[in-house]
Amino acid sequence: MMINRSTSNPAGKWRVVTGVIGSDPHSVGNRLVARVLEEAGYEVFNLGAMVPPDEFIASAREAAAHAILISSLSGFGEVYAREMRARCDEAGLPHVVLYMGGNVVNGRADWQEVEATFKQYGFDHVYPPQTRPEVFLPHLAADLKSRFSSAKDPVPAS
Amino acid sequence: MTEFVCVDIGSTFTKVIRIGTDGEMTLLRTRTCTGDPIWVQEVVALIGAVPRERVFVSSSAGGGLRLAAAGLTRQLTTEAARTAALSAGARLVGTFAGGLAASDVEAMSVTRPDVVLLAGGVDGGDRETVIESARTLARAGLRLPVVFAGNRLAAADVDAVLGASGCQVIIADNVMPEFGQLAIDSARNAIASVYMTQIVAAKGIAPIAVRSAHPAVPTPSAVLNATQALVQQHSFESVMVVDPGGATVDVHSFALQESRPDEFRAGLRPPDLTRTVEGDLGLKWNAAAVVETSRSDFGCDDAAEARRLENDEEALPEGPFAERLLGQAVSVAVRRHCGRPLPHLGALGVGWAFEGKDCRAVRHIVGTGGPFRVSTDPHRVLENALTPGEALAPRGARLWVDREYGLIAAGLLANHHPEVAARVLERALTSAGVGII
Repeated sequence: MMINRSTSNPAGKWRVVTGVIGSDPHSVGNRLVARVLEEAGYEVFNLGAMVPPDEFIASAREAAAHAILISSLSGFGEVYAREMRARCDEAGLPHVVLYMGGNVVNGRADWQEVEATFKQYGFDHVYPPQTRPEVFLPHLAADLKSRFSSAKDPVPAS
Repeated sequence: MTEFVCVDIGSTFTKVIRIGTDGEMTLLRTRTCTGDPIWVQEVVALIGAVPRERVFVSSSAGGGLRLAAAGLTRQLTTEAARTAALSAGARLVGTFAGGLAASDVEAMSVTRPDVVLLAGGVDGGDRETVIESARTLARAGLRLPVVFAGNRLAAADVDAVLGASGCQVIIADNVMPEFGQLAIDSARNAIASVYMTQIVAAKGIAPIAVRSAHPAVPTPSAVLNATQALVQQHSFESVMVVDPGGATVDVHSFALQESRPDEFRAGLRPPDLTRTVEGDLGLKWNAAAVVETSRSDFGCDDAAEARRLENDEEALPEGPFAERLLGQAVSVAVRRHCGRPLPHLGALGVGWAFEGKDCRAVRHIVGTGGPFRVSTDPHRVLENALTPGEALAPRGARLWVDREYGLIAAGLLANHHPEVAARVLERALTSAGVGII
């Protein structure tokens, strides 16, 4: 699906909102993700830790973001994740690329099952702890390219 | 001997406050009749021979500074725009999220804002919504002054679109340049300059304003200034000022908004100094709405009395009913001013997140304005501002009353003559005891 987004992009960069969802103060993973993205040429709007679910959506609107990358360690992220895509749709962000990573569920062992559940929620990708940037950066570049047209691709070819 | 004169032009009364060397005040009042040369003569006579540098003017005549604010999302830039507008002393006659629709702009021909505040997008973020709002405003041809305080990358486009349609555009800094950062000073100053250059003349107060060397300000902005002065020029470490009127109730507070690591905060963190206005609560024109906020405290007779107050132009709230009405209005307005807890799910089960202004540390509450001039038991009235439980409202505080409009005078003087403002505040406040829950 190719979208001609009406919002122009003066800096020519993809805009990404990151943060740790819900009452979860574990900020390290999110900080690493934000840094990796910045180094890869993204414009990052990092909301930090303890971000209410609706603030991801509102911030993505204010930033005219192309992607939302949600971090979670407490295991309660799934509660919020269920409605994330629906809320994006309601807020006029139907095409935003949606990722989640970390301890995204409580006590379920089978990762394939977890991944299937989150895709069903409408996430484009979901990652377990310790995922390397080499794994998610190409996914993000590909998802953005397939979802939006852009004058300039800031992601270095690897 | 009169050293300074502060004039407050209200919609009903014009108050002329003469201030002596020691901060002693003499209050003179006359009916406001903007546009009537006799009223102008009368006020000019009351001001007397004090030089223009020592005369200060505030006004809420002609409906005050009427402002429509628009942002992108309700909880971020719309809230930031609202906060900026209220701190400029404006009366909000429209708040719009998601930008401006043609019907929103159409409604402005009825709500008649004096100025439109346009925000939306963090710097480098969304540009389209504000530019589209500007186009909608331009198409409507209302020619209202517009203060732009959105994504700075959209400023040039907004300026061009609105400028071409004949609107005066003032470009201010973004009220929310990045997430979690509220930057309202520039927008507030821009609104103040529009007020001075455009609105003062339109409201018929220019003949009085020219008697002062200082720009006239909206009355609520003077009270907000006094709220800050109560901390900076007086002994209070934190304060809340409640200012009820016939149609609205204003609440101002100065309290440090420190973040606590054990608390989960939602939304924008408000500034230390804030003002809110309850446009649906008032002691005369909105008396019925006050009665409706509590079914347990008010009965059928009270509802009928409230309707009588609203319908009979000459009737004034008085007696025990007026006291109860005032107490209830204070209670509701303060609860709305303060933040609230929101339940949320966390690793330890259901916990609380907090949203809005944290006034739990407020140790002084001041009642000001007409209703407190006549209140027989201000202690009992002001105790309504204290709320137990989870709300971020004051728990216990010293209570004070300002019966002679001293706060307006101190607010007008504070920037130029802080030491005089301090003396005025010292004399203006009468103790109403200590309130504890």
